[in-house]
Amino acid sequence: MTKNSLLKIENLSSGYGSTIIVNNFSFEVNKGEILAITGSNGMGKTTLMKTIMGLLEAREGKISFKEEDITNSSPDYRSKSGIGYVPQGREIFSALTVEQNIMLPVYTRKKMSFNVNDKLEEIYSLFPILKEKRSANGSSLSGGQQQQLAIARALIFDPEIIILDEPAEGIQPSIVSFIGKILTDLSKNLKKTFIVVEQNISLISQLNSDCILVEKGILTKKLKSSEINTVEKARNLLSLHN
Amino acid sequence: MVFLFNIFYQLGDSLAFLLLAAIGLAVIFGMMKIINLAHGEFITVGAYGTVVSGKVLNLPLPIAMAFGVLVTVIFGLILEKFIIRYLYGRPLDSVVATWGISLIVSQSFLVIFGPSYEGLQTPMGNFQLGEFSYSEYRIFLIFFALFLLSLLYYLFMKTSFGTLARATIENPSISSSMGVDVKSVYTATFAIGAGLAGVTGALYAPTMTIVPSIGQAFIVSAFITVVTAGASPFVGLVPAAAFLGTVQTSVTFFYKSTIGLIAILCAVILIIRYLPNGFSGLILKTRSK
Ligand SMILES: Nc1ncnc2c1ncn2[C@@H]1O[C@H](COP(=O)(O)OP(=O)(O)OP(=O)(O)O)[C@@H](O)[C@H]1O
Ligand SMILES: [Mg+2]
Repeated sequence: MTKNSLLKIENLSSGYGSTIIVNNFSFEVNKGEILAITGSNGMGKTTLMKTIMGLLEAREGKISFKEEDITNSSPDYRSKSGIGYVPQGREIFSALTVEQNIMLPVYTRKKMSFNVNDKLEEIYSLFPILKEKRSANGSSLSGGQQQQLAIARALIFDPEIIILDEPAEGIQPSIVSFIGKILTDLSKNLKKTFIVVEQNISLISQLNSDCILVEKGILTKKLKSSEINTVEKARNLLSLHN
Repeated sequence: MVFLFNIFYQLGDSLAFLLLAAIGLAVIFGMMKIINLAHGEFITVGAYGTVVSGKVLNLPLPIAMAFGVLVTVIFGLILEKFIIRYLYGRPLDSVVATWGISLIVSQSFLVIFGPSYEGLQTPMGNFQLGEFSYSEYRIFLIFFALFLLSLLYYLFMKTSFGTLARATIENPSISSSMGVDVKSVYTATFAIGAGLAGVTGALYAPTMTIVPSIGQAFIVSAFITVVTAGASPFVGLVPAAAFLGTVQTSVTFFYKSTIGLIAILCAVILIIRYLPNGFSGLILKTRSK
């Protein structure tokens, strides 16, 4: 194992019922790194992320986080070990206010190693719109605002790695590049680690990160950041259908 | 003046009954979506817990009541662990299972305690106003019901536990990926619902004849109040109970109490037809405007 590998996936397979979707998948992410994962619709990206989060069980293979085997751990254990999750479609709790949505992960933890109110203010300064709407219901937010909320909800407990599943989906370009800037800043300045599942070529090139391509549940290409750091290069190499 | 007081007393009595009948069910059915046909038996457990401990251990009434509630919480926890846990998200199965629980429990009470059990005396006294006599305890129940409901509103809408419970019920898998221990949250929420039904049983025990079917007196009122309250039970429960209580009291006032119940059922049908999200739907809609 490379010394600073934070999350390591080895020969992972999973699926629904009798169908195997993710097939013999292996990769690793190092601390401070962003890894982009792309692929067309229905290729198994979300299935892979759900398996890493523990929402789907692994049929085969191994998932290690900070050198601990978490292949069979519960999702809440994984979250508490320091994996943040921003699910596809955002999955904001509509019955809760914006601030309750953000604070939810804090309420599940007995003690935090930092001052939560400072953290909340820090997050509000990253996403001023959330501060403005802190008492509004989660469901009253626009798509772009909900995406910021879902990211805020993952940042609040200061996880070591955050998994984002298609953060640009259905969101206007200015907000997409705003989100891209936040992710790259956090990775550069605070050594935060991200896995970003994405089909939006401009966000992928903005992240300026390595990228893996998923086709039918299989890892088919590993690209270096230098190969896809402009929109043109990314478009040519990632030949996505959309 | 006496006439007005009499109307308010009847109205308050009926409001308290509807609220207290519904309060545990508001958690278990209103929030958790378990169609709990054994709700009446939870109330029965609370009532017997109170009366039996009051008689056998000779406990003062408030302590006997606390004991009755405690017994109901334990009863709820056991059921949750062995049966209810497997029924989350399976409303039809929950109907069959809780109906079975209801039969077993009421028959067991019949076998153990016989067809009726010596009751407790209603606490506090009576007072006279004009030609009518009023029970102080029933007036206490009105205020206590409102207090309990505010407590519950606070618990579920304002505390961190309430936030966890509402998030878990809305989306258990996403909640778990945020760190929520879903199983414990469900268990705790169910235990709170059971405990509240126990409170109802304990409070009404000194006012009723203690029979194994005592809980049956509450179940219809409980369901119609929770359904009328709508999707956000703690917001809708008071207006729902106030509305149904008014219908019932006014019809009973002019006709008979059986017609009062029929009138309530007709009112509920109208509500479901014209306010499909119940009173809480109406309130939340006007509030967001
Ligand atoms: N709950 C489910 N039950 C059964 N099959 C599913 C389920 N969810 C997804 N699938 C199937 O698994 C395959 C992979 O789906 P997945 O959601 O992982 O794709 P994806 O790469 O995330 O696609 P998208 O870009 O559209 O989000 C698809 O063929 C899909 O039909
Ligand atoms: Mg997906």
